[in-house]
Amino acid sequence: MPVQTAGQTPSPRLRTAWQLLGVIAVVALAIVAIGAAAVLFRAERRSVNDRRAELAAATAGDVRAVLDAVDGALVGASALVDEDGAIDRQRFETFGEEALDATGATAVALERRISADERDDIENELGQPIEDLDAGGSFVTAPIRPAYCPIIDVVSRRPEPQAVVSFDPCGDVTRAPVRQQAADTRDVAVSPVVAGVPDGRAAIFVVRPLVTPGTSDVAGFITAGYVVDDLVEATAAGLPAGAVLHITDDGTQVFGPVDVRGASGVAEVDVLSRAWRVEVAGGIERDNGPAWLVLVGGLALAALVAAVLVRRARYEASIERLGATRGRQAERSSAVAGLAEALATALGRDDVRVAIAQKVPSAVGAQFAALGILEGPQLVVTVGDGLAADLQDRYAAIPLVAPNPMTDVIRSGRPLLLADRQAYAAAYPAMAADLSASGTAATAVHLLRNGRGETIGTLGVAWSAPVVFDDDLRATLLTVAGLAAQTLERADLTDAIARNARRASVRAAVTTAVSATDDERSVADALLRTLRDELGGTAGAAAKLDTRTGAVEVLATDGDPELVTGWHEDEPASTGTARLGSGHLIVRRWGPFDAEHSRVELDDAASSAAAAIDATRVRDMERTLAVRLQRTLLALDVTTPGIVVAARYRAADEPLRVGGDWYDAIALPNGRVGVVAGDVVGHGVAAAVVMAQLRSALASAALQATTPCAALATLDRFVTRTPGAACSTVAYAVVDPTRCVVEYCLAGHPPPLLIEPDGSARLLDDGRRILLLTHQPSVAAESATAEFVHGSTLILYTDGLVERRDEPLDDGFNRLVRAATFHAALPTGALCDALVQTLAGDRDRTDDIAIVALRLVASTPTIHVDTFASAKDQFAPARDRLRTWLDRIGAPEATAADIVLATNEAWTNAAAHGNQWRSERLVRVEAGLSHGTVVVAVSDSGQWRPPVSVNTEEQRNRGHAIMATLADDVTTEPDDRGTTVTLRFSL
Amino acid sequence: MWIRPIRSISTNTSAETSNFRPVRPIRVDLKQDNVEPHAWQLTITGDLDMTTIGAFDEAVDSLVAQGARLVVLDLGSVAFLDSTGLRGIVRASDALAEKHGQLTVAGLSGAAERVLEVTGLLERLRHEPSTTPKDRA
Repeated sequence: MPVQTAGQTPSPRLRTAWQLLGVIAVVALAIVAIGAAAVLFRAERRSVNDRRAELAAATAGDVRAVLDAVDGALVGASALVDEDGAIDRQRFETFGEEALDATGATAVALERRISADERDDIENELGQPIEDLDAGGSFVTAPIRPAYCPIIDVVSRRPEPQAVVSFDPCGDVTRAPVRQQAADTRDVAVSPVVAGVPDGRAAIFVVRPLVTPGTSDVAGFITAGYVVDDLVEATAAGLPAGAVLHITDDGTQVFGPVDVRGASGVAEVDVLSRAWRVEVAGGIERDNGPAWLVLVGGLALAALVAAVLVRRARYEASIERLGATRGRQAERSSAVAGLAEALATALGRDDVRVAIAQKVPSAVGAQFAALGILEGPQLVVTVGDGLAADLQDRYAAIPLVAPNPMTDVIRSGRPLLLADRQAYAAAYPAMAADLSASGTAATAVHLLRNGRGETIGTLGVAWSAPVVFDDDLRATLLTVAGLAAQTLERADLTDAIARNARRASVRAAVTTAVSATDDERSVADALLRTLRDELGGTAGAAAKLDTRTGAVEVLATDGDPELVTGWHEDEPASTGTARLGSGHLIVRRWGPFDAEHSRVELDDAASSAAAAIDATRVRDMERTLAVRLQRTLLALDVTTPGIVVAARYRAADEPLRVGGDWYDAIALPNGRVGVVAGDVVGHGVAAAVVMAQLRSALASAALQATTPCAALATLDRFVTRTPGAACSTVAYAVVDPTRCVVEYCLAGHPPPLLIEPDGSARLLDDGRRILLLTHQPSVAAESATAEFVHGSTLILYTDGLVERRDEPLDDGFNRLVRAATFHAALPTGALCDALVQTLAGDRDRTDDIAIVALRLVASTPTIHVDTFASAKDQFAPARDRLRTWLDRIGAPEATAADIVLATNEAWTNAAAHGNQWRSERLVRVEAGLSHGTVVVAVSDSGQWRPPVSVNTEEQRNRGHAIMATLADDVTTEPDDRGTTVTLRFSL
Repeated sequence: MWIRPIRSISTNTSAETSNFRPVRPIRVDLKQDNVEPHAWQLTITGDLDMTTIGAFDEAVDSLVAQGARLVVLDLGSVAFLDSTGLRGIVRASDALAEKHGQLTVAGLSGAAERVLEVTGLLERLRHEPSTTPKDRA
């Protein structure tokens, strides 16, 4: 079920903690986001206002500069006053025009005291007293007439540029305090913003007192009026579009809207001792993008975290719900577990079926359960307790075509749930009576499938009361069905394992029994004996069926012969067959046993026996092959006169192994002869083939090579082209009887052994050796030469002769030298035998051994070597030579005569029977005095022929009789290429 | 005194194949009895073996052809006798027996006696003591 295991669900407390942490995290994230955004907003606002303040400051600075300039321009007006305090009006006109140009002011006015005369004139012109005018307060709005303002001269841009007007400023009450201030401080004073001159627009006035030189009397005032609009225009031209400028003077609006709303930048400026405030609003766009980004991003992140937390919470809630569900299921699970446990103890297929039918009901609170196994066209049903026996029988086998819940499920492939009897009976009217009889009210049938998804049957569960198939029950039923299917499959498996184990046991027993046999009949005997032990039964037979002829050859029988005769078909029996050659091996066993299983085992047994029979055939073949290989590959065929050669090959313990060791003797031009011993890696026929290849390759190379090493170099090149020849070793020696030298070359091979005529022996290990016959033919070797006088013996051998696992190789060489010295006088063949026996006779034949020995014709104090053609006139001289030698070694006359007589018989046979009187075939005679015994060996070059007439047979028998009587011991060793008779005589 | 030589046959058996090696010949001497014309004395001198058996066989065949029935074989001067020589002697004995004659061995050299002893032919070939005493070493 796809629920989490307990280990993955956090404990509730931990979970709450996690949730709390999560909420905190979300809130914190939101706060941080908002805070950060607010900071950014504020920073942006501050930044904007700072920039507005900068603008305001700049503007204020400009205002002040303008007014300072105005003031500066007015300072020069002092020059207008003379020492009497009189002011030159004419010069004022010029001064005023210059001041207007220099400062951009609207008007410059000169105020002075007037004389009484002037006053009268003005009052006359005005028609009223000046004081009235001053007091009236309507001066500003009255028509300005220069004539009526004789005490004040004004140079103004307005209403027309550079026009000089005169008016009475005394009437301007707002300027009076300014004038007074200027008079009091004797310094410049600035008016508040007042209705301006001359057209009433807002303006400010800068008033500077004119002091009579040398006194502190104020002679008059010079006043510059500046229209605020002009001032703003002059100073705020650089403000950005949309900016709102607001200037106040002691809280009184100087310029701009009455009130500035929103953020603004403010600058305080001292305007000629008046405190002005310049405020700039608007004009600068705020860039709140980053703040918004932070705000939105942060909130989104918080929302994401919140979403995750919510999901997690929901997930955990669902886990909790599942846990609760599982708790409910636990009860059923324990019942199911009990069922599983109960089923686990059932082993065989039949046991399992019964166990399922019996145990399932308690797991699901049912009345009974029915297990249907698909067998051919029907369901074989096993019903547990809870159903009457007659009903059990009735439904023991249900044809798949029958209308039944058990079979319908197989057809539909879906579970079938019938919750009450009405539904059940309605679906299966034919079963209504049975339902009443059994008291069954509800049923559920599920498919049983094996591990490969194949349907193997159905499991039906029946209740005696209506059932609500809620999710839990459905799940439980599915689980139970799965469990049943698994159990059935396991049972099949264990059955198969048991069967296989028995099969293996029978097979092993048969294989063991038949492996020790030599031919097919003994194999069959062993087979039947084993089957009797393993399978029981009353009788058995094994026969060979030739499928081509149909002939049956009984190889062996066991038990009741009558039963076996004719292969009684009536009796219970099992038969196994296996292919054997071109036909079959049939094994039949009579007796009461499980026919199906025993057939399998009999098949196995027949296979094993057939294999064994094949093996005996193969063994025979291999044995034959081994012998033939040895004879043909290793036989020496040296026809060179004056030389005797003998060789021995001893295989390793494994009788079927044809060794890789080899030897050869090669007749070379000029009476020389080559001797070789070699070792091919590996064993068996493959090695024998390689060995044959090397042998002929060397034989061919030897004929052309000038030195032994040249021959091996040629062989080495051959090796590179010959599979399996790599790493072969060879010792090759060439004996020249004329020059009495032996020249030799070694390729990874033990050194040859030289036995001097006096019996002393030494190894020939001079010269530069090449390591092995291998794929490195570039290694140059040098042949070495040794004296080889007549009477010397040259021995080549393979490492099996000297190598022992538990000792250094030198020990082996030393033993070889000692043994060779001891046996030096033996004929070459006997010498080879003696060396093999002495050096390797007492140990396991773990390796094969090849040894070859060569001598030249000689007659020394210890040995006599003679060769002669197979011709009748050769015998008497040979007898003389032998006699001479026997005389020389001090043999008693009679014994010498016997030796000559017996030896004569041997070579007569050799010439006549072995060599067939073919003169090119030599008779080789070797005699030696070895430790008080004369050993004589006579060899020919042919096979002993069957006797051709009674006469010759009689004579040959007579010859044999002579040898057998005169010699202490006679041995005859025939092979394909010749026969050697060895005679021994004690002196 | 009873025997006079009417013809002496000396056979030098030199094998056709022989070359440089000196081949020792055998001498086969035949003496016909003066009184008994079918009685002959056959004396072998030298080696009777594979090399010389041909000459011996020839002599025997010629004697039998001439009607010889009693042949006394003198082996007293045989230096070497082997199974091949024995075969010739047995053959001669058999040929005479066929004609109701008889081969008698008279006189044995040491070499001849040894071979006859070893082969058990001494009994079969009636042994008459040789006029010359055997001198077996």
